Amino acid sequence: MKAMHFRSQAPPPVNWSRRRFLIGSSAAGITLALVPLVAHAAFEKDETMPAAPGWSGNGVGPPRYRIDGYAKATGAKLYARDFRAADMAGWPDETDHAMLLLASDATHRFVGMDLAILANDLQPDKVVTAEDLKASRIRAKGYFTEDLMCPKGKTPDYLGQPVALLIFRGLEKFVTARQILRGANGVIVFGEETGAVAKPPYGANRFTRIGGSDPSAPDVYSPARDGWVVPPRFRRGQYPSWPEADPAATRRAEAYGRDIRATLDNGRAGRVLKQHFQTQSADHFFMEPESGLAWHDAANDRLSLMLGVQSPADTLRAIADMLSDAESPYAIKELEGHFAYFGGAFGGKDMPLLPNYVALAGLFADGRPVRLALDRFESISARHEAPRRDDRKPTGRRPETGAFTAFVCDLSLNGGGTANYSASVADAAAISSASMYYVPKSDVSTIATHSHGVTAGSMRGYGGLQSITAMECLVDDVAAQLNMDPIELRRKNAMRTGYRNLTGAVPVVTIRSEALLDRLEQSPLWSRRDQDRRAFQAANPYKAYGVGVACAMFKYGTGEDGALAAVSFSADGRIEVAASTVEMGTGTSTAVAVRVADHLGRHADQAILDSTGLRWEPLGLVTSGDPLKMSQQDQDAAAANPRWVPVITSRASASVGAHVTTHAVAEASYALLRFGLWPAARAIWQAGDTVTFADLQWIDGKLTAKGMEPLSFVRLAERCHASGGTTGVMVHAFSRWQWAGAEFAVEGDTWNGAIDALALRRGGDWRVQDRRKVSFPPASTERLSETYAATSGAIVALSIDRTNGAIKVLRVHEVLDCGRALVPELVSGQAQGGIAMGLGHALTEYLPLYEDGPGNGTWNVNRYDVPRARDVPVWDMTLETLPPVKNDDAPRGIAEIVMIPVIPATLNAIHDATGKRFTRLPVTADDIQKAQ
Amino acid sequence: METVQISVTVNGRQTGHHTIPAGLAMVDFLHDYLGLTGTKFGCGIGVCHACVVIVDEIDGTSRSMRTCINGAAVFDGKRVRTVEAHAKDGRLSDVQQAFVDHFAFQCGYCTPGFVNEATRLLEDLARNPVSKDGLEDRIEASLGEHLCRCTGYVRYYEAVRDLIRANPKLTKS
Amino acid sequence: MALDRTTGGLALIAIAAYGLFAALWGVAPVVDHPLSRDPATIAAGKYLAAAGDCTSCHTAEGGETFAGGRPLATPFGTIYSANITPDPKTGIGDLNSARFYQLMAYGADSPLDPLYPAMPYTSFHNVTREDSDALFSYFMSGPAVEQPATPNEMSFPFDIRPLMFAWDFLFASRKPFEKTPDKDEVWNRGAYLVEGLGHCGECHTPRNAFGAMENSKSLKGAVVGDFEAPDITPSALDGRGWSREDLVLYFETGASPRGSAFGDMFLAVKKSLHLLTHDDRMAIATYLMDVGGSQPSKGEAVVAKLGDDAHENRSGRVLYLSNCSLCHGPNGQGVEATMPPLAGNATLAQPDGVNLIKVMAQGLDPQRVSLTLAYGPMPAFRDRLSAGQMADLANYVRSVFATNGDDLPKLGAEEVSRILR
Repeated sequence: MKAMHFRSQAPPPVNWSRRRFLIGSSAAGITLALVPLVAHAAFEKDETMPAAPGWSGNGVGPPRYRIDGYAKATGAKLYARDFRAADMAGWPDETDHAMLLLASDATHRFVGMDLAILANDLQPDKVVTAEDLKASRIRAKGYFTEDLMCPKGKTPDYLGQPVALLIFRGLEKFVTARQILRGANGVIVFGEETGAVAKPPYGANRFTRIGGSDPSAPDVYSPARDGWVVPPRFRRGQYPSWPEADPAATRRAEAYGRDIRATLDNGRAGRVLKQHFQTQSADHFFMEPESGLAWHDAANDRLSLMLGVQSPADTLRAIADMLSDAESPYAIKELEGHFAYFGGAFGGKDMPLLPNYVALAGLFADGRPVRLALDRFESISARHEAPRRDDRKPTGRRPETGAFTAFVCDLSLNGGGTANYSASVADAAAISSASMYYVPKSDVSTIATHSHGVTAGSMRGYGGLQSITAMECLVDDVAAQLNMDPIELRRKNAMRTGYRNLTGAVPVVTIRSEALLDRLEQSPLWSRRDQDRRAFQAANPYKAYGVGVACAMFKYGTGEDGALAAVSFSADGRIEVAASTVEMGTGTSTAVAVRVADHLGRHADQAILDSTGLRWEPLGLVTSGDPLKMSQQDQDAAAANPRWVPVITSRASASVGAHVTTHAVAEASYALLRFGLWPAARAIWQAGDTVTFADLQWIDGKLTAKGMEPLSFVRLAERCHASGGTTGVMVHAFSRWQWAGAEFAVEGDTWNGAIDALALRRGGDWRVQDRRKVSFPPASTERLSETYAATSGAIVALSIDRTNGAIKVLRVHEVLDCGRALVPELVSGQAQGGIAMGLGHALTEYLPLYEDGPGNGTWNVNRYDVPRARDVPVWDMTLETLPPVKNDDAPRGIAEIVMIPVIPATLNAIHDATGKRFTRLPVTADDIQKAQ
Repeated sequence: METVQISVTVNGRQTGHHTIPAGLAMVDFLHDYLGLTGTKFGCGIGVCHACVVIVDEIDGTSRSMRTCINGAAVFDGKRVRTVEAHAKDGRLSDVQQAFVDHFAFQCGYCTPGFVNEATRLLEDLARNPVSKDGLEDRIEASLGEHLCRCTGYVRYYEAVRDLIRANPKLTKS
Repeated sequence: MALDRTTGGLALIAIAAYGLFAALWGVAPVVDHPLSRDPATIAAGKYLAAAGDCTSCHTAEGGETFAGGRPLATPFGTIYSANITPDPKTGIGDLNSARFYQLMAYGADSPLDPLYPAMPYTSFHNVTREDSDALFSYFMSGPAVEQPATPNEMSFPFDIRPLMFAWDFLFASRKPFEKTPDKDEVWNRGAYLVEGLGHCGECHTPRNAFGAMENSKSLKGAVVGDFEAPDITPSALDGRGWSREDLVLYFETGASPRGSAFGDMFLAVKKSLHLLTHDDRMAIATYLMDVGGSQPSKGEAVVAKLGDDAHENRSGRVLYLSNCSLCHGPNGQGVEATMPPLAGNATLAQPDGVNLIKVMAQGLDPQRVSLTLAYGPMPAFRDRLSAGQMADLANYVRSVFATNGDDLPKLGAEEVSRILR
């Protein structure tokens, strides 16, 4: 049985074609075009964000600042929210404004709206409802399976579901009307009580593994070996029904799983510790509330959009799906997407719902450009991290050695009212549920359920944050029970390079758990904790001092990662790099510019992040099928077409920036050295065969080899351009937990690159170089899962006021294995932000699930307590990165792993200070007071 | 709809009279009347401080004001500085440069508010230096209400501290 | 000479008599009960300490809990709260339950240094001995903090502590709490809390020239520190639109359809009322509204009168729209649990406008009650609006949003200036 069964439906086949990004049959021939934003008023003639002057430093080492530093420090137009119709080339100048009315009730029938509170001159010019959508045959599909709007007479599917879209002509009317509507009662009218809408779960999986004779030996049974297991049906619509399962794999999982559970119950697995853990519903609280612009150019049957998301291509495709059956006057032939430079939101803008409504606003605004910008109340009700319950987590272990023998865990995730990524998040939570530890036998079930809560899905940490937090607390409790040092117990059970994870897959990267634990143990915050405690408590008799440690191991990448990169230089030696991703704030644009130096001796001068079809047209790529579900046979057949790849571009998500995006950049840079600069150098040196490619060296920005005359980049570039040589390389790379590789023949030179498509620029023209052979990772590899893993650990010191329970975090130290840090400041910046966000999760951030929660439209940051500087040890946060094993150790995706261990370390520190184990997040002063 | 006429001096340029709704937020006025989108809308209720601008008084003092909870009419006749005003002739202000040097921001959405608040802090210190021991507390007091979700505040605070320490006139023993 | 002697003799007799009075009346004898270490008693004491909000006065800013040292400004000088941790040298470790009760109920455990009535023994005499003992058990169960008392800074003659007995004799009741027979249990429980540990009157009852509560004006409102503690007698609460249910909500959350708690009252909610049981909050509201425990009280619907552009107070309306409406809403509707509504807000209905003007002028700090309840800050308008503008604005919001808006007097710039002086 195929894995990821409950993911969203397969995307329709997509082709990159001349000038347009075409969607297949399901979208009724709507052409999709992703257009780079050219209307940046702030940048005048320049069509992209100018690099900050001098950002690159000496051009080789760490850069002086972010490449987007100047633009951000000066308030340039980088965010979707900054744009109006007047900024968009070719659009009418005036902007209309739209707002959504969101259901604050999902247990009563929606009867209708009453806008009488608005005076006549404040009434909307257009009201769009579910009935209008139905009449026009517009409906969401696939990933967005719920009604876009709640029809009259129906109970809303979930809290915060839109019931109407209001469009106002003129800003003045709009702002005034919106202020009146905010907080007003009785605008949305509800009728009889019906109770909440009930639906089946979004997905479930079971990860049962019986390891072999040692941690690296072949498994007796595991998902990687035998396939993933899903329940054939759900009892009472909610609970997976395992035992009655029919397919053989399910039956075997059930048999093994039951046996593991029995060994825990009958004591054969050693001593057992049980735990229940509950994490909260949280908001990303990205700073830019969601927003977008749309314009329906009826004369050309074109809908143009201006958005800021992490997933440009997928978002556009979803809108095309929504409109594929639309009837006149809403049928369109072309969908044009403009995307702002910035699209980050900790996962909150990865396939969000809002762009669908932006498109609707555009279609129904009578040919006038319209802006739909959520305020914070609306934005906070739009999308969430799902709350999770981590029920039952016995870990058997041998008391004499402290070695874990078996691990059982049942995870349940409240997925809210729309499918979103809930099923996939539930899987990620399960796979990472043993954190950084090896267990020979495990049985982990996971389910993502439906509820009438607000849309819940993915966020930084993607399920691992929750399940790892629970495990790291459990490990501390085991250590306490065995009277063992918590670090020593971790060392005993740590994953090591070559060990199998819960799915039976072996991470392909080195796992440096021992080095990590050594560093944690040597940190003064840990090693001096007893002295520190005595000193602190002597000075503060009413306060308790606690220190906690925790680790984490979490994947980066999604198992379906595609990346495009192009590196080129001009005759005067300026290097430009383009990559198909979105800047989320993490500094990807800077990192891609820096990674060029791996092979070209210095940073790029300009970095362009661009997912558009136009730029990548030379590769002529086509794709089909679902990279996660495809059979080996289908893959082999498709791969015969040298332009076919399993997936073209990925969303900016899953910490892929450093790992996936810059990999393609590095390969392109290498190819540019080999096929562009090296022939030019050889021609200048006239050294014949005495110098080989392997001899090349960059010294002080100049290319040399075996004492040959050092050549400046400018001179080489000039030569390449003058001689009609290669001056640009464009590549596509694909990873399914390992990189695809292909063989290319370039002017008699055969190259095996970790890419699957290549185009070269000569004399100003791009030409595709079809691969001769390709090896895609086997289709079965996707079930391996999570074989790119990063590790980290944190130590948190805090104090607790015994009389009122107030918690003050005093210091945080984090140790991180990031592989090679492309830009150390960006890595530590990520860690600092992750620590703050982790402290918020541990101590302050909380959203009620249903009627009292954000779906009622009254939640904002006055109540949702995002950490302020005073909640964070701003001056006392330290980070240690493990030095890379070797200089070219690949960079690892760390944006999530930096956040995770802080949470359990905080809980372990609270346990240390109070002797109480808290297993609900967040832990507040009230909780501590109550427990005392 | 109740309207009022206002005229405001923004970044040294006098603008107006504009006829605006009395309840129009200053941040919307900056965005939609003046096309200045550097000032950011964050929470809309005066908590996150992303929308802070500087208002210069005639006596040479200045204050920071939130533009999401204050109507544009409140700024009638006032002199306002927004993030767009700080860099001169392609050169960043000291505060902006310090933030850039320290990799202080990530997504950058809260940066305009931090630039304005930190600038005001430095201007205050130029008149009333802070004791060296009290510097970190002073930074926390000045910037403490500004929310940032990406950075954990560390590099913003270090940037401001280093900048102040580098100028002996801003601190006293 | 003879006269001198006579005077001297009389003085001696007076001093001796006063001494006798102080010893016999001032420190009335009380039997000692052994200190209970029973966890249930300690827990009960902890609850009572919350009901009495002991921590607010007995913990200094940033100091150790219950270690005292918090300055309390009075018209007669500054008093520093006592260390009530069990430290034997500097705290209450050397007391027994009898002396503790004497301090609670009479404000004195020795004839030489009676307490100043900053310690509300003027209310706490209503606390039962049983509750006093439970409080003592609770305080004695915490860690001892050695922190010597900060000397008070009282002006003459108030620095002569034994004179306080005379003050007590004149102004401080020592009667234990007695139930009112014709009222129900809920009402009486409320009375016990309001008049006793809750010490509501200490703020809400006006004081005479000697700083004593005027019993004839009990709970009729007084100015305390920055703000006015409004009249909370039943008819006044009713007149400002309060219902018992509103009050219960207000005590629990600091927020209600009648507005939010701010200033010292917010602290009273957060540190005390919020921590009480629902039954106790209901009892307090029942007593304050003077309704029967089971009798429902009215909740008055408030309809904002806004909507017409041509308001007679145009200046006030424009000021409202540009300065206030972005948070409180053009119709004063607020946002539940985020922005207090102004429509129907009881503070607006206070006739003298003192609290309204002061809140406008000074703004309010952010207030967090719990994980799910918190208000953001309110900006101060003192430096932004003139007295005349504040008067226009206040008149506008009072006339439009107060339940009794039509009956409220118009405020002038002079009154605003006077309030803010």
